[in-house]
Amino acid sequence: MVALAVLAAGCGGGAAKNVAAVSPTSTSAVATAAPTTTSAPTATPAAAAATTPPELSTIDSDMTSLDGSLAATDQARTQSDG
Amino acid sequence: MNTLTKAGTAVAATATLALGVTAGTAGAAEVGLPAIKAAAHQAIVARVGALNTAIGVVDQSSFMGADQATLVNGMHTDITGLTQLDQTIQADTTVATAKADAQKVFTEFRIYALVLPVVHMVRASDLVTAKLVPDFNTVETKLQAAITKQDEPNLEHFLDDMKTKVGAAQQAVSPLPAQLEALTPVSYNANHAVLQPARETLETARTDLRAAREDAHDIVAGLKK
Repeated sequence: MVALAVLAAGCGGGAAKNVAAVSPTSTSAVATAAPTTTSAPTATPAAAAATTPPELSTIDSDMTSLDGSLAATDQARTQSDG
Repeated sequence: MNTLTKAGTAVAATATLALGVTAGTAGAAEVGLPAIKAAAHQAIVARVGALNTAIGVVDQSSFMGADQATLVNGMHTDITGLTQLDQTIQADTTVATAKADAQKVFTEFRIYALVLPVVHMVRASDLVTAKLVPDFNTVETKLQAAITKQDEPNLEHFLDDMKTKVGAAQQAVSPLPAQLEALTPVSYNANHAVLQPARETLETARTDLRAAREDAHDIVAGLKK
């Protein structure tokens, strides 16, 4: 039971850290950086678009959902033996 | 004897009669039967509520494919079984029978210990194989094209690592839904750690996918320089 609690705590912490490290901040940072990068002589609009596949945002969202499923798993397991 | 005293005497006599009837019909051993029934009912209501919540989650998860119906049908079966068990318990007339039936809430269903974890782990597995892996594969293709186009071979090792991590996650998680759906309360009763291997596999897959995502972001950052 202690191990499960530690596991659950670990998952929660990881999820929180993960979410904090992921998209909203970094994606918006990338998005706001794009105009500056685009204006630089070495970058082109096509290159900027190619370097940020939209699927990355979907992946970030799905990773959060994965965190949620695993947290729900651990919550149920620690709630009761039956 | 005034009216109040007469009334008090009558109440006391009625109470004594009631206690006498209780003791006479049910016996001392049946004291506590209502509490057992109430506790069992509460336990069943909580589990039915949790199952309905999980059904809602699975219903919203169309990426689960055939697992969606399998799990929802299983949970509906459990709700029916728990509801019938509640009716049985509420009709029990002895403490011994009620206790034995109440134990079945645990031993014959294992909603919290097995059913709900299985539901969430199957959903997590399907999320990996049906959504995350395909999206990672698309990202890999796009980033490979960008690396080639911008002639940044130094970013190739990030892409290679990304592909390795995503492939490992997919391979590890793919068998889990069938394995998890085959588990029953009997499986859990025989081995309370029966879910641990699948849970550890999913944890490893999540770690791999997080690393793959970091690889992708590193490539994007490298391409923007």
